[in-house]
Amino acid sequence: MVCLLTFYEQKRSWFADLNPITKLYFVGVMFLIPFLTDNLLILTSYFLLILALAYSSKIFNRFCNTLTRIILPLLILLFIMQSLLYPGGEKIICQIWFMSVKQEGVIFASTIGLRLLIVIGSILVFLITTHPKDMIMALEQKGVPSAIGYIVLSTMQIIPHMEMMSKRILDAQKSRGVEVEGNIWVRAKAYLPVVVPLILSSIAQLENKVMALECRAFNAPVKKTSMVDFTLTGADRFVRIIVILILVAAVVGRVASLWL
Amino acid sequence: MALVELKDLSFKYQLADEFALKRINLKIEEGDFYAIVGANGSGKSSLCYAIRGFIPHFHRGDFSGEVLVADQSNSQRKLGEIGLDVGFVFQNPFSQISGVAMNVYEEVSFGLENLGVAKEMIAHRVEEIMTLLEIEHLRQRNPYNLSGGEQQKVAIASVMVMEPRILILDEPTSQLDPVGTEQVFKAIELMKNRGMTIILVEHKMELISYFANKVAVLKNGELLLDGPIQDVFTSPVFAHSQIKPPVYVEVNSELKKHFDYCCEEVLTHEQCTALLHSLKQRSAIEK
Repeated sequence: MVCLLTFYEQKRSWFADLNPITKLYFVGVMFLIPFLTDNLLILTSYFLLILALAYSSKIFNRFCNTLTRIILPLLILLFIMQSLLYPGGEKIICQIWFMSVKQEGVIFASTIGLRLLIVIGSILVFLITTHPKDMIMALEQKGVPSAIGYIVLSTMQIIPHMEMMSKRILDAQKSRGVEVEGNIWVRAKAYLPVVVPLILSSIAQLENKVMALECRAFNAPVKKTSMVDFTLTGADRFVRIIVILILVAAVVGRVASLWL
Repeated sequence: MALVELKDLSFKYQLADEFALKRINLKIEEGDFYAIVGANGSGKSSLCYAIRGFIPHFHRGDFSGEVLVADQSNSQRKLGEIGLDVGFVFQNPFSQISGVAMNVYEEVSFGLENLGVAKEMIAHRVEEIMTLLEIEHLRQRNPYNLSGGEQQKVAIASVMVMEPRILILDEPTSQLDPVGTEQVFKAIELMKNRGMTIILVEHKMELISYFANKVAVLKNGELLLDGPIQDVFTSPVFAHSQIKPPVYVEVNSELKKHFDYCCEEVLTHEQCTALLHSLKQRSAIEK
C-alpha cells in the first residue's frame, strides 16, 4: 500500500479552513520571530501559542506525537552537547566525572531548542491542516509555475512508491539466491544488486512519465482550469492582521532592546 | 481527406543498429478504427510514437519522411500542440499515473484541467467516462494503490475523457481480464461512434476483427499490408506476417474446403462453433 509522503489529516477546524496562503503567512512569521529575541519567556509564549493553535485545530495528539518523534532526539543531543561543552561558561550547575554542566550552556540549548520547536511546530501545524494539493493550487493561483507544483506533489507520492519498489527488487533478488540477510558485510554486499535496478528502473520510468504527462496535456498551450477557488474570507483577513501585528511587535521589541 | 498521413516514414533510434520503421506510407481516414498488428519488435509502438510526435520530438534518431496530422506536419508543431489532436494510452499503466492526484477522480480530471475545460464540464465528463468504464467505485482510491488492471482502466479513462480527435491505444488491454477487455473495447467503440478516430495496437485478433474496420500489418519495421479487415486477413501475404489470423479466417477456409460455403461476416469463436455444428448436421442429413 503506497501512502503519501504527507502529514495531512482530514479534520475540519477554523484553522484548517483558512486559505493556504494565510497559513503560509503564519509559518513565515513563525520562522522569523524566534530569531528576533533571546528571551526564554517570550520564546516559550510563542511555543504555547502554537500548542494552543494545534489544540483548537483538533490535531493536538497528532501534532505532539509527530513533533516529539521529529525533534526529541535532536533536543536531547543539543542539551547534552551545549550544557557540557558550551565554551566560556562560568556558572557550574553540577559536575559529571571530569565534565561540568554550565548554566550558560543550558540557557543557550533552551533558546535554540525553543526556536526549533517554534519553527518546526508551525510548519507541522500547517502540514497537518493543509491538503498538499490545496497548497500547490493556492500557490499556482499566486503565479508559482505549475511545473514546480508538479515536482513537489509528485515527489510526495513517488518516494513511498520507490520504497515499495525497492522491497520488490529485494524479494526478486532473494528469489534468485542473492543473500540479503546476515551480518553487516552480507547486507552491504546485497546493497548493490538492489540499488542498481532501482535506479535504472526509475530512470526508465521517468522517460515514460514525461511522455505520459505530455499525453495529459501538461504542456498544452492553454490556460489551465483550477478546480478550487481560494477566496479571502473575513477569518483570513483577521488572521493575517494578527500575524502581521505579532511580527511588527517582535521587530519593535528587538529594535527597542538594541537601543536600551 | 486523410486525417493522419505517413509519407515515406523511416526512423532509427539513437544507438540502434537497425531502422525501427522503414519507408512507411499509410493513410488513416477520419472516423476509422485502425488496428496495428505485428510480432514483437515489428515497429508498432514506434509507428504510434511517430503519429503522436514523440518521434522525433522526444526520441531522437535518424528520421526521414513526414507525418501529417490534420494536414499539419508533426515536425513543424510542438508536442503540446499535437497533444490537442492526438490522445495516447500506453501499455504500462503505472507510468501513466500523473503522480499529482490524490484519488482516481482527480487523476481522471487532471488532463481536462490542463486543457482549461470549464469546471462544470469537467465534472460531467469525468462522471460519464467513469460510468462507462465502470470505475466509479475506485473514485476515492489512490491511483498508486490500484491493481494493474484497475490502473489500466483509469489510464484509459484519463485519456478518453479528454476526447481527442485521434485516440492511440498501445496494447491497452494487456493487463486486463476478459471482462475488463470487453468493457474497454466497448468504450473504444463508443468513442468511435462519436466520431473519434481510433488507432489500436493489439494482439487479440478476434477482438480486432470484430471491432476494427481497417488493419495495418507490420513486419520488421516494414508495412506488409494495410486495408479493410477482410481483405488483409484473407490475403495470401498475411501468411508471411508471423501472426495467427482470427479464428473465423481459419474456419472460413475449412468451410470452403469441406462444405463449399463462405461466410462473409466476422464471427466470434462461439458463432463459428455453432455454424460448423449446424453445417455438419445439414451435411449429415443431406447424405
